[in-house]
This record gives sequence, C-alpha cells and structure tokens, in this order.
Amino acid sequence: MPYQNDLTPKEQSYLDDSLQMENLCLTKCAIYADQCQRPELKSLFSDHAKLKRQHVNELKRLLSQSNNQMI
Amino acid sequence: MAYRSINSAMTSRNRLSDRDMILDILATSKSMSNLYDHASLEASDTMIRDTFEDLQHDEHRSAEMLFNIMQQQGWYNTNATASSSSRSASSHRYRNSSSNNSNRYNSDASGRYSSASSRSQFGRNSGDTSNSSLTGRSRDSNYSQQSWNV
Repeated sequence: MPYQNDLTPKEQSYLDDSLQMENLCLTKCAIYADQCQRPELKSLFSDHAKLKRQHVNELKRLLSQSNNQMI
Repeated sequence: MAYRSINSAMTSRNRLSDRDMILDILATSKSMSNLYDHASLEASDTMIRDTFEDLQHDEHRSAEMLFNIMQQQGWYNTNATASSSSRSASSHRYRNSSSNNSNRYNSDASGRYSSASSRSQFGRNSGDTSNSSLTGRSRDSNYSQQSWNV
C-alpha cells in the first residue's frame, strides 16, 4: 500500500484528533463493558470496543505511513 | 441538553446507569461523526478522505444501532408523558431510584412538556393541540423521535 504524499497539516491534525477520540471511546467502552449490569450490554460494549480498535489501528496506520515518509 | 429531561432515574449517586453508558457512547458517536465529516471535507488526499468517510459511515451505523437498542429498552421516554399511574408503575423498573429521584426527574420533564396535572384535567382525548401529539396509540414513539431529534 504505497502512499505517495505527505499529510497536509490539516490532515495531520484531524488524524491526531480522531485518534485521540477513538482511543477515548475505546477506553470508555472497555470500562462500560466492565461496569454495566445487563449481560447483553456487556457484549454490545465489547463489540463496539472491537470496532473502535479497528478505527484506532486504521488511523495509526495512516499516521505512521506519513511519518515514515518524512524520515 | 435535550437529553436531561429524560435522564435515567437509574443513576445512583456515584455510578452511571446502563442507560447513561449507552447514551454516552451514542453521544460520542455523534460527535465523532461530526469530526469525520469535517475531516473528510478538509482532506486533500483521496485515500485519507475515503478513510474518513468509511469511519464516519461506521459511526452512523453505530449510532443507529445504539438508538435502536435504547428504543427497544424504552430508555427514551415514556415516563415524562405517561399518566401518573403508569409512571409510578414503570419507576419500579429502576432498582436504585428513590421516590425523591423519580419526583425530581418527573417534575423536570413535566416542566418541559405538558404537566401531569394539566393532562389529568384535559383527559386522554383532549382536543388541546399541545397534548394531541402526546396522546393516543403512538404517543411513546412520537415522543421518542421528538426527544431524539432535538
């Protein structure tokens, strides 16, 4: 997956912000899955945490590609 | 916040209820959808933009799913517009709610929407327009949609 262009500052900052938000949501989902009382919600939150994990990985991939590009 | 008037009576002092948790994740999904919307508009690279759009699409799906779950649980609504008898009956569902709690939330809701006393005066078949959308068969679902779309 070659990535030709460097990120623009806006793309960089949006990716940073998104990564932060996804990480926050991931953390909350993990906590809620632990704390909630209904078992069906536990699986809901852990499923959602998995989706958030995918998002985090995707954003990290984009960020690391651009970082490698700059080195 | 439009959500406050229907906030969960299950919330006890230092702990989030299940409903609060779902509501929080749902609010997070909505705000992240906003973020991705701006991000995809501002992106100059096609691949970055596509990624943001995919992520936003995921958030939309998540929000829809969370919304449906809340609606199935009846976590939207009902108490604020239900008659006082069904209101007290449904408050038994909330394990941790004291009578003080439910009174507080109900009075909050009744200030925002039509009050319980005025409803009992007008009755269920009232022609009063402010009540008409809240009575009848689809009252609960109407209220859910309204409170959600605010």
